[in-house]
Amino acid sequence: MLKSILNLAWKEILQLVRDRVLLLFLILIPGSLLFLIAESTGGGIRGIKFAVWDQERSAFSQELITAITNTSDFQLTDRAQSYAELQDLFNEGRVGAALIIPPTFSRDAFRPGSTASLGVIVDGSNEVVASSVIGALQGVVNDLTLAQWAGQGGARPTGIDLKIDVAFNPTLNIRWSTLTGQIAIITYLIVLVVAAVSFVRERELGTMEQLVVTPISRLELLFGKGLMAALIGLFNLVVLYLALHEIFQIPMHGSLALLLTLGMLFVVTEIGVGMLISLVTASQQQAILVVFLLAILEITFSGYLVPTENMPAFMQVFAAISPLQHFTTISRAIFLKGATFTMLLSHVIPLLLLATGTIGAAWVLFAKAAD
Amino acid sequence: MDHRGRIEAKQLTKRFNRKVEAVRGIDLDIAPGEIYGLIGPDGAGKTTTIRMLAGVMKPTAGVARVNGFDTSRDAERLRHDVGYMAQRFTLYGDLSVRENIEFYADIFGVRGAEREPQIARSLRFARLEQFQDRAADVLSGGMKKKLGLACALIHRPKVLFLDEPTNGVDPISRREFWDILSELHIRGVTIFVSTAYMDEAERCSRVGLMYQGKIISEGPPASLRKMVQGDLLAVQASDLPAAEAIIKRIDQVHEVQIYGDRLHVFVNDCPECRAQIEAALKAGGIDHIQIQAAIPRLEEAFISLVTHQG
Repeated sequence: MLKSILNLAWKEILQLVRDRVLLLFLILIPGSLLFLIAESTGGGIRGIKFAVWDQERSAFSQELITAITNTSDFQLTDRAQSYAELQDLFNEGRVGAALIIPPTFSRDAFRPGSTASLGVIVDGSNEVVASSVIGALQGVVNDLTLAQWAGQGGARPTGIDLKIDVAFNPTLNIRWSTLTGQIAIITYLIVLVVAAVSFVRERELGTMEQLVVTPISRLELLFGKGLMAALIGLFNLVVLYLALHEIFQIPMHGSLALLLTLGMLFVVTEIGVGMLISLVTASQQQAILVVFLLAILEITFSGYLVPTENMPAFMQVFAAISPLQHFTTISRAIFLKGATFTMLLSHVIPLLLLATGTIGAAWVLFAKAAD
Repeated sequence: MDHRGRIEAKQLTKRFNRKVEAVRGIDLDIAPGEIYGLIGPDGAGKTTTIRMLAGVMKPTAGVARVNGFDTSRDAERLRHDVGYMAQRFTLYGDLSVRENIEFYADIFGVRGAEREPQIARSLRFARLEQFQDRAADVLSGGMKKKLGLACALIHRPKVLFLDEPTNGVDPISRREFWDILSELHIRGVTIFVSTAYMDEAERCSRVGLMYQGKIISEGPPASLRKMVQGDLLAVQASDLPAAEAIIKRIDQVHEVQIYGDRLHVFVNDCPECRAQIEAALKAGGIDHIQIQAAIPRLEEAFISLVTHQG
């Protein structure tokens, strides 16, 4: 009995070694998961761009700004002169945080019995970043108060109160930023799976052999299958939008037409990726495994869980070529920030290139598969 | 010359991975309306040949022309007049019989007023009328083949390629299938069919024997039978393996095949051989000897031809 078990096990090992995709999958998944998640989450926030509207311009206010920029978490990029100016910086996405120092800041800070207040605005569209920013600022301010107390000999600052104003997602609702990212991930998975099994299913079942002797051309096959996946994608986007807006009551600050248009651009890109998978795999099972592998990578790079800005540079390259990352950002920006087409160009252009590239590659590969 | 219904091949060759030569330069000229049977053992190259002729696969070298169109360069124009049925079931198991036929009717452009009558005719022709709402997956093996045939015929092709259409089908369904093919033959459809069953080859107007990528012999079934050299004797005896060993040692015998409960012995023209064999067997202690003259069938002819190739 043991012998037959060993015989069977050996056969299984042989089969596994011959199934390259499965093997790759087994090796890559645990390794990359461990590595990527550790790398992308470990760093915390880094170099968050922030603006200051310093109404006091005192030594103490300058000390506070220096203390903040001395941490690697923040990078001072702009000095504003008005609240409106700060708002513009936010809307254009040029800063992720802003500090408003009131004219009576140091006076309040050192007068016994009073508390100085400090205005803080953070971009709440990604609540993970927003919370980290708030936490880091709080830390800097606390350190500064303690240092002041030790240095000034008795003139102890009574405390600085952070008055936090969260832009875009004012209640820092984790559900908002999660769900507006989720619309991208769900669409991604559904469209990718449908497209990935499209050709390989026909090949596996043998039905492709019958199809190729019909007058249907390869281009028609590609488009016929693509169309079906695109319709599924559109239906999915609409249903998810309705769910977010009507059920979860997430306010839509931007244009629905823009969301759907860019959503379809994303769907087309994923159809291209899916078809490529379908053309290079030998069975539906393999295709699904590849989708699974890709999904884990792309979700990691999408900024859905961890902001891409915090990842090491080489990982940001992966993020830049991940269609999911672009659409996750687009979806959140349109929903929560009311972003317009021109504001999103830096994501639309890569998506356009990726869509053309993947569909084109699928077409070339399919035409070659004819022999 | 009208090429409709004609199948031609010149030095048709297919190599896989630059090494394995599945089809090694075959020539074919099949007239419109013929039933041409391609027979040969598994791995002879029958499927590859059919796939190249039907335009599913491009040849490595040589040309094939069907209805006058080059099957690799004019594949698109070929489609409308050619029907193809692969060896395995290539239809959609999750669709019903009717849905499968409708799908193929639609992609072959069978439209308008001719669509419904043509679908009904196909169902009737394949004797599947009562099963039209059944999912293709749950059909019996024989019915699946008939459905495949119905789909391959939906656009009324002039030429029909069938790759081992009755493989794994029960004898009654096989006969029924061939009755359908005979009807098509009467209508003038050229049929190119590969088979491993010799009795089916007997129903063809012409047969090609394929072995190791080549057509080693070709002709009407009767003429192939005549190609077997010498006479065929059927020998029954108590101990067949021992009898085989003894008979093989006789000079005049050039081939012995075990065939069920008897031996098929090919001997050179020699009237005295029968007595010689009987004597040798008796001397070897074998009894219950019965020797009869037999007419070689295609099967023996095939084995004999293949043996002499090697």
